[in-house]
Amino acid sequence: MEITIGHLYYDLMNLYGESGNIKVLTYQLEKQNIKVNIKKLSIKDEINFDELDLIYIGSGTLNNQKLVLNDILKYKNDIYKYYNNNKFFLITGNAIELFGKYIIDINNKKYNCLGLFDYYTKENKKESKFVCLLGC
Amino acid sequence: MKKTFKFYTAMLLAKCANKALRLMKRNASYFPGNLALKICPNFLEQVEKPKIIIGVTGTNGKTTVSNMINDILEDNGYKVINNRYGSNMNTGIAASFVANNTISGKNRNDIAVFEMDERYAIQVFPYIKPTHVVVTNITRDQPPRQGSFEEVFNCILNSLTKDCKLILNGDDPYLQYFRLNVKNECFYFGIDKTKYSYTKNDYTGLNISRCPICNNKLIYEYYHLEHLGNYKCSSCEFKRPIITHSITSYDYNKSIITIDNTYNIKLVNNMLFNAYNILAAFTTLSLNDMNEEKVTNLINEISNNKKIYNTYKYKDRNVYVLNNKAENATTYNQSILFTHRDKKLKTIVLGWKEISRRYNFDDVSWLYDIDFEMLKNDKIDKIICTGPQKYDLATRIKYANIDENKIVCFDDLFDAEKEIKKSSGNIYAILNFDYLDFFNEIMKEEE
Repeated sequence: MEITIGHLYYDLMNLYGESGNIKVLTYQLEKQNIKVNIKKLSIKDEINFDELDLIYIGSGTLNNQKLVLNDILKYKNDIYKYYNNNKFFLITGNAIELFGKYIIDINNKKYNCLGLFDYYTKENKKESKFVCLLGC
Repeated sequence: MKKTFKFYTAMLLAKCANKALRLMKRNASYFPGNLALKICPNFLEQVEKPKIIIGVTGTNGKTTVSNMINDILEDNGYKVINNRYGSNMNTGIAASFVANNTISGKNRNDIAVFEMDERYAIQVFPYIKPTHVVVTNITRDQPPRQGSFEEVFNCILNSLTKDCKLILNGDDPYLQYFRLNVKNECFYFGIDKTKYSYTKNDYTGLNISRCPICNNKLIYEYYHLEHLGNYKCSSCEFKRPIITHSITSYDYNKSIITIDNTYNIKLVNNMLFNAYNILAAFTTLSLNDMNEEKVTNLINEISNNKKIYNTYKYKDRNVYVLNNKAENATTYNQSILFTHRDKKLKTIVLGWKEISRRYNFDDVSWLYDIDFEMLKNDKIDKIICTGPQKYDLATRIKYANIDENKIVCFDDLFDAEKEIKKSSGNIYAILNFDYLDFFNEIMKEEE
């Protein structure tokens, strides 16, 4: 068996030891004799979603998150297709916000996101952690 | 600025508090400052200040750098006001002015040297308007407190006043965001290629790997550690700036650095960041017209804080004690790189008593920003993990593909004593400060 993991925006969304998730996945899968391919992809690369079995995106600084948002929006159709084909995502930290409806930053600037899920984010000045509001 | 009635009241009462605390032999480095700021919120703005004010901030090394600058200025006969025995926040700096200025708030000193907590710079710099700001570095540190290095950068950036000169590490492309965001004059220090510079970087948690102008990849002629080195953009004109003062040769074996091909300085602490710290102090002093030869001699005289780095023998084994801040992956990466350079058999001891004394939040994500993978082909007898997060450490190291049988865990460093003593090879103790004294006690007693 073989699995291809796309570690997307690995060099920008790498704030809190994110590569650890890839290390653990690789270690555990290989232990079960599953061949693991890791594709490290980022902005300025061409991402081919058809070849990926699992997508991982970690958390990044606010600046990098907006850079990535700008890039990932061009793959909106690919991501919807990937999602509808029942393929897998592992998304941690503020990368989750990219898949909601929009982000409002501390200056009240609104950034449209992928809109795959029905939540939005409002950045909070006082706290360095972020509140994700889920609308059900 | 004209002094108000509130200011005089604040100064008078804070002076009394300062006297009283000193008479009682109590610490007067916080309360008088706090009192002054409570009574007169713009105390720092109104108090008279020396013409030259040097602020030293950054994640690591601010104490070392500010003390060094301070000592050398004093040795040259300057009267210096500092916060070396006080806090490095707004209260500590206010307390220094309370203690040093006259009761009417008049300045009695030639130069001020303040160590400044990076998160509090915004509450101090806009009011005291430093003439020079040294940013030693901005590294990943205490995620639950600091959030991210970008937030620390923004805190410092927003605190800068328009006339201050910036003194920055030119080997760090991230710090060039300062130059790109403000018009202040910038001066850089840096280290040229050394015997230990390398060209392939495997660190996964770099603060910056793309050009701050066009977001294309940075390419490096060589690296010193993490993202420090000689870089340029693969696409645009962005590159390592012109360095004002550089370490032109770094002899690790003899622990000697040479600045600008001329000045030799012996390092007590043979670690990369210590070399940067010395260079930061040298650059700042030189910018203030100090004689470079005199500065060199004085740096050589100053006995560095030996607690940070210690080396001695246990039986026939070399023991290296490396002080690391828990929650700071960069200091660990520096220590791991240092350990990795020893090609002989070694035993590594890791641990801390507490991750943080400040909050009850045991974050271990930073362990995955440390490149333990670097050790996977080294000759290792044992890796001894100690303290409350011993299993988190062991798990992390296991995922670096290091043989599980070499990893042993103990609840406390105390319980690990026998294991450390019966292990083989040189000993590298990569410890938080709260384990240092204890480690030295158990390892030194049988000399």
